[in-house]
Amino acid sequence: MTDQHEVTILVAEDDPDDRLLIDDALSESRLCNKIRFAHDGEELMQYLRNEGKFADEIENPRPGLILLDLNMPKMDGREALSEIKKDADLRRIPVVILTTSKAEEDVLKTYDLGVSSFITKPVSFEDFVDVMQTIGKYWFKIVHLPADD
Amino acid sequence: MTDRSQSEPSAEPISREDLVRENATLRSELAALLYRISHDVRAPLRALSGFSGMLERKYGEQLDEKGSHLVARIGANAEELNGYIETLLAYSRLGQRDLRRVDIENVEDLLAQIAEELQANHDRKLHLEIPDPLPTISADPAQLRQALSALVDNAFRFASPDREPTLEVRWEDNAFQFIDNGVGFPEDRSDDIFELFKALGETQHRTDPPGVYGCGLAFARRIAHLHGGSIVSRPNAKVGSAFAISFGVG
Repeated sequence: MTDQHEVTILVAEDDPDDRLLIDDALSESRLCNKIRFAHDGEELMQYLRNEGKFADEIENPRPGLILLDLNMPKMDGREALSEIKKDADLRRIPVVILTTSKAEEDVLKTYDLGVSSFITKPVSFEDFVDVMQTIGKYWFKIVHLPADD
Repeated sequence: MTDRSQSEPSAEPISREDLVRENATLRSELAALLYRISHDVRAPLRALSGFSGMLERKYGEQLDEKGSHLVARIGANAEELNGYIETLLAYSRLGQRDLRRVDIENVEDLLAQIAEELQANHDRKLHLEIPDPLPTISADPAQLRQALSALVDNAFRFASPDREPTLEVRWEDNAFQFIDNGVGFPEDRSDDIFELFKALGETQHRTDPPGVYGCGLAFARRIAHLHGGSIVSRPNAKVGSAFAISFGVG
């Protein structure tokens, strides 16, 4: 099994406050993984395809897990998700939705598109840390992730 | 006097289809509005709550007692506001989906189960009495459960310190009658106890699920109305209070 600490987590999130919260909660939960951010759906796709400012493959490695917000400018999470799942090269990367939405419609639609989990962002920082800890434990200690090609 | 009815074009009568269409439009507009509220309002709220939590955890030791207190108050208020928003959203979502009516038997067992679950949040034992069998009811299972829970919970919350808390449930006049021996409520409040955020007294328990804030009766009324039924209350003749809830016919 690969050293799961090497696995990169890619977070697609447009809200700077939420990026700060997620970044802090991830480091509080003592996940040693490399964390990368994309600010909208377009950037997310660029990162995954190592295009534009994400061309450096060492600096921007293929993520083992994507945390995806749904409501983002340019290309929203739903569109990005459907593109990822249509792409034979990307579709194996597990995508976890991390959003404000609790709308049943979003839950159904994104599961239809093949997300691995749907999580509503918690309100308190304590709960945020708990969620990140659980995500880390589940995806990097319990689950066997597909190896990179 | 002239007859004007001939000269004025008569308005087209509003058809049932028009009303149904209008209703559907309003419902989808409301759904869109709720979605925006849930996203746009909750995001800054989460930042407020999240950052005050971060401040407390990471820089708490550098704050004096007053500073810590203020940071804690910011967090608590943000969570309270979040609770209100959650309640509003949950309340509005009740009407968004079509009812799924199912014949539900054994309402007695359902009530006993609800009472047992709620008992965990309360110190005093509530005696649930169901003297006669209750009929099969056609209702949306999740909503029926929620409405009955609100009424059982009410008996727990407003138990009198002077008596063994008892709740009697019977079927009369095509409605479930909930009769408790609690502290009751003043007659002039008999309408607004069913309004959101107008719960009586100290009803916000630390064990409340987030966002409920003692709005159970408001939810029960909405559910009854969605079923084409109603809920009415009256202070019990001598002690406690009584509610009658119906769920229309299937």
